[in-house]
Amino acid sequence: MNRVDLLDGRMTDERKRWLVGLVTHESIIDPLDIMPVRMRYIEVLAESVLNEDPGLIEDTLFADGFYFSEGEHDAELGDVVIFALAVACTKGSARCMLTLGSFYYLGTFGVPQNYHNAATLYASAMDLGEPQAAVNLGYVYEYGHTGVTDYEKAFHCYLRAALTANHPEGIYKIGDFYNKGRFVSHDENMAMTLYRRSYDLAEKEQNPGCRAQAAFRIAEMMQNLPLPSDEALLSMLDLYMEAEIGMRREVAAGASYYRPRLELCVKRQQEIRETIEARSRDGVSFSIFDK
Amino acid sequence: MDRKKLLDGELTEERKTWLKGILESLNQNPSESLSMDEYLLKVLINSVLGGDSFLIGRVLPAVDPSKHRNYESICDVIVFAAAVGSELGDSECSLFLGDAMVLGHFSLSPTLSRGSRYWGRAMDQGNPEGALRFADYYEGYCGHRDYETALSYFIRAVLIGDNAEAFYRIGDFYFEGKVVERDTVMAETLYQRGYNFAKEGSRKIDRASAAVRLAEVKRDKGPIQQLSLDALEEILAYYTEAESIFQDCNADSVLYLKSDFERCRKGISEVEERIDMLKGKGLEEVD
Repeated sequence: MNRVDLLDGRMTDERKRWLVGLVTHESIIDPLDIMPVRMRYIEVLAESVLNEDPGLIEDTLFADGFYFSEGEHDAELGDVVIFALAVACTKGSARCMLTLGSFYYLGTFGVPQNYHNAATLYASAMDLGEPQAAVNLGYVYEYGHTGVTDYEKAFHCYLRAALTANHPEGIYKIGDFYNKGRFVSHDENMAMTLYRRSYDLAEKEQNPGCRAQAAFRIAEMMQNLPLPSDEALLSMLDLYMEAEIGMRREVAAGASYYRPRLELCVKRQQEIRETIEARSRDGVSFSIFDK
Repeated sequence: MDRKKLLDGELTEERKTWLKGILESLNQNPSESLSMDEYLLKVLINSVLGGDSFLIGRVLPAVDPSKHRNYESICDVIVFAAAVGSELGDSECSLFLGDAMVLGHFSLSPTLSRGSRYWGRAMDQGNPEGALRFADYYEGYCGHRDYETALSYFIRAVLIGDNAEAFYRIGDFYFEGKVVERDTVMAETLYQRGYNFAKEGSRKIDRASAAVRLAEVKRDKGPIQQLSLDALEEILAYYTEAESIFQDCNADSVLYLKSDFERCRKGISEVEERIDMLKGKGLEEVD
């Protein structure tokens, strides 16, 4: 099957025959007991696609312990996954729109990078109430991926995610806009309030990725303190360490665009340690400036 | 005491002596004979002397200077306590002081510019009510109308801290297509969030206001003749809940609630009439 063609999500007779063939495929006996699980997964997924039931497709694709990510290196599985996502999108699955949109955005999973398609899918998912899609669409507008940078539209996308779902990433992105004075007036107090709120929400939701990003931002703002107290320096060190761990995980998962920020986290920790050591050597304490 | 100077919130030795003097005069009575008002005043002064900004913020609204013989002196204590609490970082104190200055309470000369600085401080200290004050001002409650700025402050209120009122008032902007593009789906989501937060919180009046709006946005889905019986009954449930709360709060006598209460009563009348008609005709569903 041509994966790019499958992206149209149309259930042609040829594709039906292909899916039926997958459903009736004999399981391969494998001593390591891996292949039967893979084949079973493909059978169940193919069956859900034949039913054109978006709920069933979602349940199969996103179930715990699924083979989803393996599809990137497994041609047969990858084709079924992509077609499943495309069919579910035509049937109104916001989650599948978000996932396929991300593949278009990143150009992964054999999907050619196409920001316009990504934006269309994100917008549809956002209208169906998927907050991550709103955030992702915000990125499209903020970075001008479809040709025009539009901070107003980006802000409204992030705001939508924050207002409708307390989305920690949406909240820290709005913080960025207040910090940089983009579309809204520059307000560092508001930015810090939002970064802290995002951090707390991410902690509650057990979202280490968002927590790492919020931690980085809080620490960067604290860098602006003219004479940080000893306590503030230790807090910053703690935050940069947390940010580093979170970003190492993101980079390992494929988000290589976080590498420069990861390197900055490591550098900042080194600088802070040197400052603390210097104070210790000189017998200086800055507790009186603690705020 | 010079009340204007007390606004600096500095606990100088002179001011400590002054406060201790008031405490002594209260302590001259055996504690069993202290009235509740005197007791609250004692707690307030002790919290100022002890630098307990949290307690200052919670006791302040309960101290009524009109219940004391030396009204002006107690006004001085209240204003100073609020200023101390605000300087120590308590947003309730900042808000209290801002309101007092804007509205001219405690014999202060009303001043919007100075009072609003404390609203701003409350907002910076993480209190969404500070943002709501600005939003009210720009929405025209004090005569000045700037909807775009008002919306930006409602948004701040929600971003700072899940404020039920802010949610449904932003929802109004989406429902009416004011400043933003009309979006009834977004409006309903925001009204629902406001309603849910109000349910968990202590402000029933917010729940009522959110409930009225939920009823209206659900009514907006089509002409009333086309709404199903189930939909009508859901709408009526929201209106009825709101009406009950408004009645408990004597909303008729509160200016900013009167309009919501009237919408509620009108809505109940129209929806009940439609339901009665459907039930009278024996129709359960309308195409």
